[in-house]
Amino acid sequence: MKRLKMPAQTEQLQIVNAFIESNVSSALVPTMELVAEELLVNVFNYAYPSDKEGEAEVGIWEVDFDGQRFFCFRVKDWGTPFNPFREAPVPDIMMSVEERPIGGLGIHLVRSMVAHYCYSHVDGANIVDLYFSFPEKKESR
Amino acid sequence: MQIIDSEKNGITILNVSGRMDATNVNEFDTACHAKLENDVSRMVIDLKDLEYISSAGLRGILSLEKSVRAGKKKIAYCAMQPMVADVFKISGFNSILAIYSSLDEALAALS
Repeated sequence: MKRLKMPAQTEQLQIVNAFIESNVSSALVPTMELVAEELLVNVFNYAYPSDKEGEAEVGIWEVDFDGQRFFCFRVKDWGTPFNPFREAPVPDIMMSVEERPIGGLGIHLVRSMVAHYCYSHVDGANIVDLYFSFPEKKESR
Repeated sequence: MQIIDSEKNGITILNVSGRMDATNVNEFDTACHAKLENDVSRMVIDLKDLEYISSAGLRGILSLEKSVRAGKKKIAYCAMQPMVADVFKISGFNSILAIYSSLDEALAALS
């Protein structure tokens, strides 16, 4: 697995983007950068108490799952246990502009963009694994 | 992210290019709210050069939209690239915002 460990700070997103750009095929880059940002911003803002420096790690590897190939992207942190897929509220995307709360769309975007999503809490770490279908061999958009 | 503003037929056009994400959405907020405070009543957000938007960017757009409506002003968006169009669609923004495929159509709609 290719890995990148970083202090839990928003400024690290640029380094994460460069890491993604150098490790997956170009058609997947925008989607993977999006899910990376959504998950990492949550980690940076909420996983650790504000007076404590925390860390996050991302990883990229390939998986053969039930005979199908995927690019996998992992976000790991050692902060408060948090399963974003169960604990983040599900937004009502049909709501009008006036009624809509600002925010709360990040995890909805993550769920919608990947083939599979998976959360585990192992050895004191939150681990989110996201599975991306291999892009078909055609022009990237 | 870069924001360039221009004007056509009394309509303010903000061209937003590059990436709108958690690291820079505050620049978008500042630019838009400066326009609204300067009594701009009709505005087009031209997205043809925006390559990437995240939920942080959507927060900026929704907050702008709320301010525009509260002030009884008018706003339209145009020329989204596929990544941005996907994010808008998944979030339901394409059914609550005035979105046009070209700048000319957006300008015509506000005229």
